Amino acid sequence: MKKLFGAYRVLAFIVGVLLAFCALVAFPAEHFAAQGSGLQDFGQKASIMWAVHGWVFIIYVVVAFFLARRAEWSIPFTLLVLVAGLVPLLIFYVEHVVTQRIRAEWAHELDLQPAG
Amino acid sequence: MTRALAPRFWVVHLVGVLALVVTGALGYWQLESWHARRAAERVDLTTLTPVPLGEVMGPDDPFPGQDVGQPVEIEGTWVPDGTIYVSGREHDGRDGYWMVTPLAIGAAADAPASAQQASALPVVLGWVPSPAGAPAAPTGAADLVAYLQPTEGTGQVDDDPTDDVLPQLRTADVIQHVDQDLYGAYAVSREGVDGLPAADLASLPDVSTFTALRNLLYALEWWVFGAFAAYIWWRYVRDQLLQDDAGPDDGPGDDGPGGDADDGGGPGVVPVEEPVSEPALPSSV
Repeated sequence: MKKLFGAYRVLAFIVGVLLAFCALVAFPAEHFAAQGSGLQDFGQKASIMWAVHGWVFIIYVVVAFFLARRAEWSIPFTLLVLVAGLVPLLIFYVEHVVTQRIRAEWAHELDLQPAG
Repeated sequence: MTRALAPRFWVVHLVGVLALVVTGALGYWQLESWHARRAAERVDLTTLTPVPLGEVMGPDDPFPGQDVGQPVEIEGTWVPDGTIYVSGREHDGRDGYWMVTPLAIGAAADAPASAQQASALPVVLGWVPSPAGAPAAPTGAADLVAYLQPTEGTGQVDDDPTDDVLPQLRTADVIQHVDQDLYGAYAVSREGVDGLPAADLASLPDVSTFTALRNLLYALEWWVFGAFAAYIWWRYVRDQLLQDDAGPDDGPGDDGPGGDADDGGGPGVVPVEEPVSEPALPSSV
């Protein structure tokens, strides 16, 4: 549990940063910057990060899935956690919720006092 | 095995098969576009029969990406005042320049006014070792065959905008040297004009490793997703069957999260984690 939870948090952070970069930096640069400008060129080159995000997202899905089983989450909550990796910035909030929830419900496994 | 085919699993199997079909198809689609984009980039059009320029692109059209290297027949009047030299061009291993003179497309030589109004296409006449040794720019009417090329634009800076030497054939730079509109393209004359050695094509299709790499990565990604879906599917059915074996009252989700430290399954299902479908939420959070 502890390892899964730790891996989940790290992956959530990476996925979140990659997705935010792709959706909020690379995509606008590629499509809205002036044609032929350096910014647009940068956007085109940076768009390969989409594929990197995709691959990290796969690992995220696998880890989140096992964490969901281990932590006995409901299917809707599990799906929310999985889909969060595809909506820019949502994952930062979801990661926060997950952290609160795991700490509250599984404190005995994390060697922590229950939050609150 | 037959128990796994019981009607209560049919929905699960349906979802599993659907997931495999969908991810497989999406991966195949990405693989196909990877192939298609690489094939499109590799096509060498330079051996095709020349077609009139107007059939390929108009003066205000964006460059037709599928026509890189297409031989076109161009006809018009030279604009010798717009002649420029593009630096850093090799020919037979020697560094030199391209000599480029715009051609006012469709303009008659004896009507200077029409030459002013016609859009011009920069034409690479050929290679010269240096601008100083270049012949006089051509004048009058011309009718030639040239390879159509997209304008360059690598962001290289022209370190001296006042002279006639440019680091690359960029519309924004060439337009400073003419008084008329330009096509969003340039052309490389098939034979060198005025006896110049013909220039070597800059963008002949050359597929790089990274062309459409995203599509290939996405294709593999979809299949990995498919494999993971298949794993979940198999795991779910196995867990359900093991749970049946362990007895109907021994569902592993029964012990609450705040309960004992051992949150494993029931005694009969030692290697099994909680089934994915287990709807048992911790009742109180």
